[in-house]
Amino acid sequence: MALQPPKQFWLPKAGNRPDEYEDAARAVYPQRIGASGRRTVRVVVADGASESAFAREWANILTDAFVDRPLDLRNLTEESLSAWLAAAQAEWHAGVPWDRVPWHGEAKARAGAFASLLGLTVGTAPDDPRRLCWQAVAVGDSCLFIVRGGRLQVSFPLADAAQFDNTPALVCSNPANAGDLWEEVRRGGGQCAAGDLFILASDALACWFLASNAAGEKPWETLQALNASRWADWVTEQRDAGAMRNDDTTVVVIAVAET
Amino acid sequence: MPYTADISRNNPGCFLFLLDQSASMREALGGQPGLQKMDGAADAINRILDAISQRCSQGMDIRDYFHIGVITYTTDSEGTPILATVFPETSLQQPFLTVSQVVDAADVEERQVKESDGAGGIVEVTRKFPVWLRPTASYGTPMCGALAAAASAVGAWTEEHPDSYPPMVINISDGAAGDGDPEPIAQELMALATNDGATLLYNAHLSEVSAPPVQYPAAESDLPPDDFAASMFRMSSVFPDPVRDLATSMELPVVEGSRGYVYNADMVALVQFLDIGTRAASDLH
Repeated sequence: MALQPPKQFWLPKAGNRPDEYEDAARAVYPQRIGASGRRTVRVVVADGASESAFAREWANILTDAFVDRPLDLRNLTEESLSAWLAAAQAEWHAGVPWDRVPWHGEAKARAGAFASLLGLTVGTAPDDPRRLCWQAVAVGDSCLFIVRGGRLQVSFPLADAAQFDNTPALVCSNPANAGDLWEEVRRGGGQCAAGDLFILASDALACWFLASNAAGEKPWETLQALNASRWADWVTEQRDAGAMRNDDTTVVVIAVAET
Repeated sequence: MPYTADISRNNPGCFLFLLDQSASMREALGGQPGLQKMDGAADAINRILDAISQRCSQGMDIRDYFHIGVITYTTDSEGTPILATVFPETSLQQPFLTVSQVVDAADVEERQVKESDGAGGIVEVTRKFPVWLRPTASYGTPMCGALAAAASAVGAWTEEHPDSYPPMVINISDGAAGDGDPEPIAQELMALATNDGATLLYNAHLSEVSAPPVQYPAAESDLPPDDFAASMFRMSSVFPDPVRDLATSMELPVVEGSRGYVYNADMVALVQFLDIGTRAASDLH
């Protein structure tokens, strides 16, 4: 089995400029897939909460950290996650120009930025280098979908369009306001099969995907058929039709091939 | 469903504050000695403008999700109405600024405040406080004139923004209009609509009558014995469902049919009143 190169698309909320897009996504493939660390395929989506300040920076720091400092998701503990997160929080704090923050941004900057986080790693099984396994971690409402045999096999961490609301769990850049993050962490994992389709999406597209699937449609076929030139028009059509919330929109699609 | 339009820079929201600056605003607010209504009202509006600015802040920048205006009303000693806008380079015809322009128009004061240090203690820190409005109060209450000015400005705004969340007009007044019956003009204002619903008019009635406070009543029978309360109640919009849901979640005393009307509010209730009016829209961006 092998993973095909990812298709990755994004579009800011209508009315916002591209530099105001507060989602972030990265996908990194090693030359040869192994069982752990930098030898795994790492794909990540973060959705910065626009109600918070410096959220775009925070989403980017989280996604960069996930691919550059791989977490061992199989053996993830509260301690290993905290240590990983502390470095990201320190980087965010160091990047805020505290002496130049205007009055309207001060309280929000002190409170910290918030973002959802969805990370996926794919590596060889520890006991069998011929098999591929996936591991995922999520905080909030960015979702991973795995389509197998023409049906939605895995919907993680949310499984119903009705579960999307305005108060998702979020990762905070300020340790003092991070709450009990471990309580909010969702983990998943399983084996990959040839023909699997992995789809990672921030909330607006994830909610559309689940509603479409629940209506008996095959939203993955729509996403597979999209290309870079068609993507923006398609999202705009969905937004205009009221089928997708007007929000920053991000998707990464990866197919598992036979070889 | 009305009152659910997504708020973005393409389809901004609109807040218009009307502030009575007549002589009765020198009385004590909410029966609280030492705090005049004019001070409380100016402070509440400054605080809510600060809160809206902060909600639109991304840290360094502001996103212009709202157009905001403030109109004050009083008379001279002869009873001639004096209507004025608070923000620079605005007029009664066009009282609105974008949030980023509102931010630029603030006088920013530094004050020492006590805050929790996060470890059970209290520390004194310097915080910035933006000020747009200074308290003043004298002479009469030309509320009809103020509502007519609001209707004219909001009418033009709704024509320019047909797909926006409906405008919200928040009137803080002693309720005793000195220039006629405000109800028909208020009804005209409340009939101005975007495709997402009719203009919402909320009233904070700081009465000259000393009667106990009433918040968000649903029926005239809930009102105190005050000649002007029924009229102010009728010219207050019923909370749309999404606003009532939010008010419920903020643990405010609302029921089915509650209107955006508070009578003889104290400072806390006045700030909550402005907050519920503006937050329902802010949550939609």
